[in-house]
Amino acid sequence: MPWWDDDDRLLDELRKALQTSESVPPLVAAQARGAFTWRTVDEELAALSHDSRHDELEPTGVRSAEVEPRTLTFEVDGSLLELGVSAGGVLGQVVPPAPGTVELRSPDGHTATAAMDAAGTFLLRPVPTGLVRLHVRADHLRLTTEWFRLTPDR
Amino acid sequence: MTSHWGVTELLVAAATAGDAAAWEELVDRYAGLVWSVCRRYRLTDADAADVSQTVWLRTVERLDRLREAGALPGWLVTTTSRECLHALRTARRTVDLDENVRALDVDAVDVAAGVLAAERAAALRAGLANLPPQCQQLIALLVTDPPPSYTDVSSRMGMPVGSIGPTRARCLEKLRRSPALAALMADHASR
Repeated sequence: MPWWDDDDRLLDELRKALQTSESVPPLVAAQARGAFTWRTVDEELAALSHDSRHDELEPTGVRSAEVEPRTLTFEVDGSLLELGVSAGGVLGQVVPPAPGTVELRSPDGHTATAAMDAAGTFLLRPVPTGLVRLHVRADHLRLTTEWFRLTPDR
Repeated sequence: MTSHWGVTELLVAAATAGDAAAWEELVDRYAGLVWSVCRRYRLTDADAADVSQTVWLRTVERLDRLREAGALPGWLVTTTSRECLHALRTARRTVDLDENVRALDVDAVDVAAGVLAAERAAALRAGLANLPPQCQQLIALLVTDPPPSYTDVSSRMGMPVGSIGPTRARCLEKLRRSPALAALMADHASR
């Protein structure tokens, strides 16, 4: 007999169901609901196609000596964004190059802006911590990256 | 686990189209699943909260790619596992290989059971929310741990002790007939 056909079992399942929803901290659930505001419409996100950090980690997960700078590459629609991360900051390069602005955003609402010169380069300082994404805006270029992390130690 | 076009797929489609309420319903359904995966990797609450946020932000990014039946729960478990391993690795300079192997031993049956439990819990909560207030109140009392005596229930509800049993049966039958439970039963039959 399926569990729902027996009153006692149905009540047991209800008890479990209500307990499950209570075990996730309210703030965590609220943040998860709030994630929807980060939805991008009509724009394909630039995906991380290469991260030099992935090359550094050995199979057991033990990290070899840090190689500086760490490089990341994002791609979408024939456009490329390359980042070089070092203690001094994040040096970026957009291809095809164009002047414009780059905005860094964090889920907590924190933003930072950098100017992009005619060669498509920019510098963001200091290196942001935690989960971030970049919004690149130039005359003929509009690029938003996926969420990614830059901190060496989360 | 086979699946047909069910509630989750409809919610994903609606959320993809911009329906924030559908998104919130998805979170209500599956936040527990994400959290339970974090628990399995023995993350601290703070790390689990970080993982959860990352997972849901990434889910929003690729919502339109998760429309197929069964895609979302599988994606949630895989992504949460990956983020949990990342959190474990970066929390320590060296990784205990044995612990890593244990952590990776996320049993397929375990995962499927977790997903089923999440869907069942969501359907039950949805069904409960649509019952008449008296039924909701009675059921809420009856599921408390430890369960109250019928005398307690009687005084709390202002209802004669003798009518508690029949009312309980009536409310549970209403729950069984609710659309949320009907969908769950149909889903169960098709698996």
